[in-house]
Amino acid sequence: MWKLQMIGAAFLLLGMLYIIRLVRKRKMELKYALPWLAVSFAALIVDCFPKILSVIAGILGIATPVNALYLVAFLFSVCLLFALTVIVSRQSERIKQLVQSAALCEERVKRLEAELAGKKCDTDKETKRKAPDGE
Amino acid sequence: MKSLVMIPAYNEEKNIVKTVQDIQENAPDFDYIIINDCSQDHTLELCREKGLHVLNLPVNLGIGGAVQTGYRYAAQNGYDVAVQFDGDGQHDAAYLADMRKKLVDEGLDMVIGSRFLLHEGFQSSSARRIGIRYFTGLIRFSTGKKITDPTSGMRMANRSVIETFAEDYPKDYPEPESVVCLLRRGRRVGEAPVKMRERENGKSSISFTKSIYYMCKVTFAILIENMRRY
Repeated sequence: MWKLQMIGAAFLLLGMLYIIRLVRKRKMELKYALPWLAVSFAALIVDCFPKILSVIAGILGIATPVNALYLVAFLFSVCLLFALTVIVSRQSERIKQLVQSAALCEERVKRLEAELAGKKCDTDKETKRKAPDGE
Repeated sequence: MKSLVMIPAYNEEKNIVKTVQDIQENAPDFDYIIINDCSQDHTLELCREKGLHVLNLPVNLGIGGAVQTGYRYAAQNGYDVAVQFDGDGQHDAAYLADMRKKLVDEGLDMVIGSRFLLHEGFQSSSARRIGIRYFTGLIRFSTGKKITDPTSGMRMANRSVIETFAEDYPKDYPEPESVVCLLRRGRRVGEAPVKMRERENGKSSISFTKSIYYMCKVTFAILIENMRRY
């Protein structure tokens, strides 16, 4: 029994270290890593003290403790997926606004550049025309 | 009166030059802007080569995002009137002056170019017409206003609608939803008769398999739009 617990604990610790490594390398934001760290930590505690599962199963009226585990894991997954969908929607709106602004700015720069080039030509012509008059 | 034609274009290298020529010949007092929605073909190169006015989206946004870019451009550059106009040769620039006259004379906020007021020109397939009639019914049921051609992409907006749409415009399949959005805000929407052509090159963005999704999505969009408060 405790062999399996040791293996589980090892995997969980490795996973947590991996998440922390990603955050350290800035490949994952701490904000989004926290739920994973929290659930890993919770799993580690349950792994060390499996009695907790029996207690939860008892409270919820579930016959076998492992089913309580499945229920909790499933609820966590659904919540996380839902949160991600909300985040994706927000990101997509922000990306849309940025892309539009980029296109509008680019057009404006091109237009102003063309205007500036046109003005420069005009002033060149004017100075050339004025030069003989001045003499 | 500063007026702008907004032409969203996705892979329209075969039609875009003709569309701009149509506008320059038949609606000479309208400015135009092409919104290139990250085309995979040579639409952008062609526009640059011919010196056409173009807004280039670096990432594909879909029709709603592209059209909204046009409204933002119109808002930024002080246009009084802006009209959506397809880049695939379906729409006819000869009707733009009439549409603007109706917009101004009747004090409307938006004028939609409708194929079904005079029943002339290309009338779409019968399956599509059933879908369009369904949306007409749904909009009439939810807002009390009869719009004969709610999916028409030829629509003209005044300054206040330009500002509204620059802020807030649906992303995909935006036409019926945006009409409901205006009606819910108490804006005045009218229709002007236009003839449309069958598209010469390129095909509709909505295939048969997508049409089921389209019907469901737009229905939900309209129902949810009716729950919003302004």
